Amino acid sequence: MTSPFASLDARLRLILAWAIVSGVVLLIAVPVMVSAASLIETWQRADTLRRDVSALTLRVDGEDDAAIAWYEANGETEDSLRAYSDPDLARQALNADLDAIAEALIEAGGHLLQTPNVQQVSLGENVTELAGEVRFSGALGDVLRAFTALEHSHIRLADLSINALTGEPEGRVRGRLQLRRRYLTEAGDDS
Amino acid sequence: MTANTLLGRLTHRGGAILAWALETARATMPAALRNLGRNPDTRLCRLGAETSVTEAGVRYRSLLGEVSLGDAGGGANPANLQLELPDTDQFRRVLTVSDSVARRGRAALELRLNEFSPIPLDQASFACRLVAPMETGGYEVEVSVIRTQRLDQAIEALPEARGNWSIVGAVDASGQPGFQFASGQSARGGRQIGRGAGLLVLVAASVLVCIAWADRFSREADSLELRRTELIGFARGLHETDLEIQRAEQAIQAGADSVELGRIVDALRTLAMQEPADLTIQTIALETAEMLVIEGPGPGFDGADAPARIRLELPLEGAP
Repeated sequence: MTSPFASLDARLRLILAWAIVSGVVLLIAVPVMVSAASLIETWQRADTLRRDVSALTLRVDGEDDAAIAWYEANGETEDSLRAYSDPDLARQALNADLDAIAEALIEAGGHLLQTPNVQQVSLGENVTELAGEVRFSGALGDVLRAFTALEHSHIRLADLSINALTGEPEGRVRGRLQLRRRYLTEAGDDS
Repeated sequence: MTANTLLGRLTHRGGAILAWALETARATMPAALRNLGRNPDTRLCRLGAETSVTEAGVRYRSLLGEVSLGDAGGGANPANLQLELPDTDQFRRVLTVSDSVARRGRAALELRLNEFSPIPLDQASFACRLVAPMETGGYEVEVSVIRTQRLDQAIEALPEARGNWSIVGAVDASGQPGFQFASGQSARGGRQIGRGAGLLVLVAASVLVCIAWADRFSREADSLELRRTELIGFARGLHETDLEIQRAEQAIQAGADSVELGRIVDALRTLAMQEPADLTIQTIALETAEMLVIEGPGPGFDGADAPARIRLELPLEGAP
């Protein structure tokens, strides 16, 4: 029936009462504030990241589309692109194209007049050109059939000449085609 | 002493101390803060002769527990009900009791009921209230005794309530009851949660909700962080690709143009469909990257006269 701490001085009781009330308020407010602050902080972090990811996705998608468009326009792939800055890959790519042409010509019934050869020429300070040449002979129809077989190969010709042979059975031709592949070397790279 | 009893006592003592601290501190607070969230809390009624009941007002309670009286009208429909007994039904007396009796309260006074009850003990009900501490020690306590039969009549006369009900002997100017003879909970209303407990539940729920959402955002942020790292790696790869494309374009533009073999095949196919079947091809040459030249003898060529030659220039579509 009596109030707690009745024997204490009135001023002391008031201080004690405020201390108890403040303690209870803190006990309630601190977890609420801490959890609310944590919520706001994580929301802000997630929101910032969401914006970053959205902006990055747009940028990456745009650059990826541009790269894919370039590949398609130039008949290149991610792997073949490296051949423009790597001498070994450039030579491999050129040899692969030369081999494909030689193989197609032979399969179509043509003949190689000599083994395909590759010359290396410097075009400037850091550009080197590899020129590969194939000399062949055979029936014009066979040669054209070989070319048709390579129609979708993305092989690019820098030079082509086919001449009918005089004194040979009609339709026999001799030809020469040239493929070129250039690559960039970094300054000081003597490859 | 069982654990329940201990817990009950602790809860009771804790609640009493908290209520006292709040009441003491509240007295020094500004009125605006004291009356914050003031709402109708209890409907006040008075018991008349026999079982007639009249409206006496409404007791308002703020969030901090400050109570005040208001008019019965105004559309307020509080859940709780307090019925005040008429003074004529009560026998009141002021007693002087020791500190220990005052502390123990009603239980200690019940043993002394025969000292102050003019009604036979088996027919009497009583309530008490603390008046003031005495300077010489002890307390002045006022007791009010009524007939149990009258209390039963009051209980029967109780108007319907949605929440808690109580029967009291007096109501002070602020609406606080002076003597509480009986109390209970309405059969209509569900078990009410006290304001303190309700606030605690609300706080706990808020904390849990905050923690749950923070956890959700944290997991989302972690996953986004991972995605961002992947995208940054991808963007770096694309930057490298872009540099390689620039190098490739520089290399391509450094020398003479070339043309896809497929374009040459297309041009020759078109020629085969458009030209007469007796066309004799002597030379096929790639003159430029945009032009394929076909040469052969003309229709009038007889091998003796000046050669009449045909020169066909085939544009290479889409080249270089």
